[in-house]
Amino acid sequence: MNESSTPFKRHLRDFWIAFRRNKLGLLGGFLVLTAIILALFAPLLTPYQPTEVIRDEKGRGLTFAPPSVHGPLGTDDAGRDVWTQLIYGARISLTVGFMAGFIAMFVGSLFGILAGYFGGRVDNLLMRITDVLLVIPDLPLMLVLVATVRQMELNISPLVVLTAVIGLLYWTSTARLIRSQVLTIKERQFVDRARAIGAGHMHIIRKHILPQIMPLIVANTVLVLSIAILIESGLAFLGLGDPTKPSWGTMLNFAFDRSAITNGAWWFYLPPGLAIVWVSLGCVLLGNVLEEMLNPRLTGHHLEDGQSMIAVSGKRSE
Amino acid sequence: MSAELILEVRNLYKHFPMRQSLLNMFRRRRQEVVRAVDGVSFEIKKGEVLALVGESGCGKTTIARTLIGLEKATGGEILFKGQGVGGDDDTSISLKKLRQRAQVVFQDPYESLNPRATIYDIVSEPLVVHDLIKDDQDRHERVKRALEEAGLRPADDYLLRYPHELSGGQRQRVVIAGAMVLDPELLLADEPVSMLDVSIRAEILNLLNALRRSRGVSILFITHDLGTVGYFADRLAVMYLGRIVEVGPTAEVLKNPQHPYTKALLSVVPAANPKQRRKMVILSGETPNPINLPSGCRFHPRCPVAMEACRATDPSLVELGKGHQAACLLAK
Amino acid sequence: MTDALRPGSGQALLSARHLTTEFHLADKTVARALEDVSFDVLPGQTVGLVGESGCGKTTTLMSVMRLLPSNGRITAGNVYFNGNDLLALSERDMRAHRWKDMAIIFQGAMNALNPVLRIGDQIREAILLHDLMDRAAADRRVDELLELVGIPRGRRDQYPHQYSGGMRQRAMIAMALACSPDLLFADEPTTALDVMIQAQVLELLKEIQKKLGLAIVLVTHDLGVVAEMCDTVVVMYGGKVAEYGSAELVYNQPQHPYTQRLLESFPDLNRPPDSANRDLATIPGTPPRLNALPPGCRFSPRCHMSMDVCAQVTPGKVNVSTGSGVLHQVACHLLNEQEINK
Repeated sequence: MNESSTPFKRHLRDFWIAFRRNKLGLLGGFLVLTAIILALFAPLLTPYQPTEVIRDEKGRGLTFAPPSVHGPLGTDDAGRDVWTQLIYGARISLTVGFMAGFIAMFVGSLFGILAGYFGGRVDNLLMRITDVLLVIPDLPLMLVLVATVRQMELNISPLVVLTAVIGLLYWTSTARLIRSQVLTIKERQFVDRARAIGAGHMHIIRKHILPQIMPLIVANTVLVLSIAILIESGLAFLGLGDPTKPSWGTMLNFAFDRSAITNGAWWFYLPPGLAIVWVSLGCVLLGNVLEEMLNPRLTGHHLEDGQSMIAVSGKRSE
Repeated sequence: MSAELILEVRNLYKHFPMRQSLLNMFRRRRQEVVRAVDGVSFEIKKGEVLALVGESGCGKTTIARTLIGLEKATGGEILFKGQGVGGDDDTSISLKKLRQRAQVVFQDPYESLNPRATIYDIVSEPLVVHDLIKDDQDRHERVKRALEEAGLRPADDYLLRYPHELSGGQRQRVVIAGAMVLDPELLLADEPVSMLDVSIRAEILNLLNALRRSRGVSILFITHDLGTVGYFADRLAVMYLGRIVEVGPTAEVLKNPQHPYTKALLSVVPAANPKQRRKMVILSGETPNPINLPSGCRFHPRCPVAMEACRATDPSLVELGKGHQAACLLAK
Repeated sequence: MTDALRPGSGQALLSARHLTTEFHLADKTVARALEDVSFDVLPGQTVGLVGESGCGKTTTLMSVMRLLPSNGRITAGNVYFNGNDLLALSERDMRAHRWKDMAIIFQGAMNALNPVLRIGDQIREAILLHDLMDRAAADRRVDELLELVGIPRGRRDQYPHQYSGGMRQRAMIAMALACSPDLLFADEPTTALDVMIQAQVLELLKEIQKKLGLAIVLVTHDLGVVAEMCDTVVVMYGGKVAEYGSAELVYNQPQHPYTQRLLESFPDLNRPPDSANRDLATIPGTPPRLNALPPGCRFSPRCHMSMDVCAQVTPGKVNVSTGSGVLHQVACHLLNEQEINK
């Protein structure tokens, strides 16, 4: 109970102390953080440009060179450096994934909070929209949407289209989760107390509902990020990415198109695949651990007595 | 004690519709309702403590929730200092204004505080909501004064703490500080001590008593515990199945109960002395649900002295002198 | 009667002697939840354990039943049941004692009942688990038990959620009586119930006690319930016995300042206050944390009669001489002083 520290700092410190003990959480954080660092410092980590063709002494393009010939990850069919493409691709994959994830989270939280808090007709309307989105198969829908937007020749970058489509389709599970949480919080007595004091809806949502579900939102965002990155990779693999700014999915698409697999050029298709696994695994680990730590229902209660009582009665009935 | 009325409740009804099955809707069955509050009238004078006593399900909590607008009344009138609440005419006050002058203390101090808010946030919240004190320094002072008045001294030690760091008694003091920070004229205390240990219970009762004396606040004290009533309430109203069955000055009702339900309730309160074990009038069964009410007097199926007439006649409150009223055919 | 207090007396059904229980907490400190707790339960008698939350009432119960959570350990003392030391038994033998010889009913009747099983079936399971009898016999036993606790036969096949709080507590009592124990522990059996339902349940316990000759140990913070039910009272504070004796003496001539204050803070209908000064007595401060106990008498920091010696020396138990030889023991230096001064 340090007098000088603010409550927020105290929270943060307690959180960090608890988080540090969790090995899986640390691993997840490490995976995500390394990917972000590689993406941020890409120009410092390679002498080449992603589109630059590597040439041998005779000036010919060094195609399909294995890592033993050209380090660290060899070259692709056009003689471009795979390592350079990988770390520059991280920028695209992570940007699209993160942006889409945040959009999904924002829309999902907004829908969930409004539906859960106001209930009745608002709830019905918002949840029916959610249901419709849930039952339409998302992959075909996204293909159609992306293709249509592209057809309209609006001069929007394909990456923006991709981000928007993923973000605006993947908020449904979040909305349901947040809604159910808000429904239980709404019934708690401190919300009644706020109403009895004379507080308005905005005040109650901001001061009483949001702080309770914020941890859930944070944990869920991290989980949605991994989904967004996977979806982006899938769509890019199907050729819906931006060929001039290749992400990991686009790299896989190239590798597949140019028969890297039949050529045995594993260094061309394995690194982007592993990178996708790396980041999404990191997100899932981190998200699960955060959820476990931050979910108010899963953390300890002040009534330790009551808990041990329940444990005891449980033991008895065995 | 001046005779100024703070709160008048006239013929208050609150019925909750039951969820109806599709089949019954199709059959054109009448929708069933839970008659939680079924025609209740009372008033509270300035500085007075009125205790509303009854078993769970008798409607006492619903009354408090309806008074503060957490539930919408099905019928009847609520007058705050002679003014209606939420009406359009000039004589009525808005719900928000009412919520500034009347405050609630809930039963469960573990549940009624936001676990993620600091004590300062909680106690200052009414001031923020009603936009009363703009200056941060002033607000700080006001919050500290409320906390110290509620017995949390020195207040600085509590401002930045969270509810889970406090004991049950301290939390209830925080709730009371938050309720008193606006200097309300009416406090609706819904079982404020029933979750607390004996000695802490006494402290909270003493605190409410002190606030009543120093601030002249009127209190509607809702409880199922008749033991605490004698120490605290000026008047006592006993509820059964959505109605007040007996009301009067506390000492008078405790000494000379007229309604058989009041008598039974009084007889089962254990005395803190093994020498005073008495014959208890134990009513069989439990309070019936307020959906299918018995005909006539709603207490007659459990009443030890029911007569034939009780099946047919629904008695209303009869004045027995000195403000003592009972709703029983036998009361004279 | 008094002889029952002397250790090793033959007639007590249950005797706890110098029971000391410790908990190892997550922050690596040790909480001494019980220290030197001794009391006797005679056959057919009702003993009340009273005190504020955290004083060790429930821990006493759990120690005697050997149902402590995994971080709790009994470090000293004995518990005799009909002369056998329960703490010396293997877990298997202990399990045979539980339910057959001593059963327990908990406060949260809803938590202790399985929500997806019919009440009748749950009681039958409890019987079949502990008793060697066939299903038909067990079924007959269920009917007997339900009648004993006043549950109409027609409600046998209902689920817990169809029961009210009072009915659930009756079902719990029926389950506890399934194997005809000699001793029933009741942990806050009426705390969550309305006064009228509380009266019904207490009346039921009294009736059953009379019919079956059962001994009851009642754990509660409600002084009224104890006064209503108990022959003997154990007042606990900070894991120790503060006062122990016949209910009449403890209530009418309380010797320990804690007992006195506790009784004065209880709002009693039958002691109507004078309207001039309506304040109830209170006990300042909070009960000690069990991993940071004060030296000397544990109540001394809150005691209005505290002396210098109280903060230094732990008071021993003193028999209050009442002449009649009725049980009354107090752990307070004030009494030692008086004894010496006499």
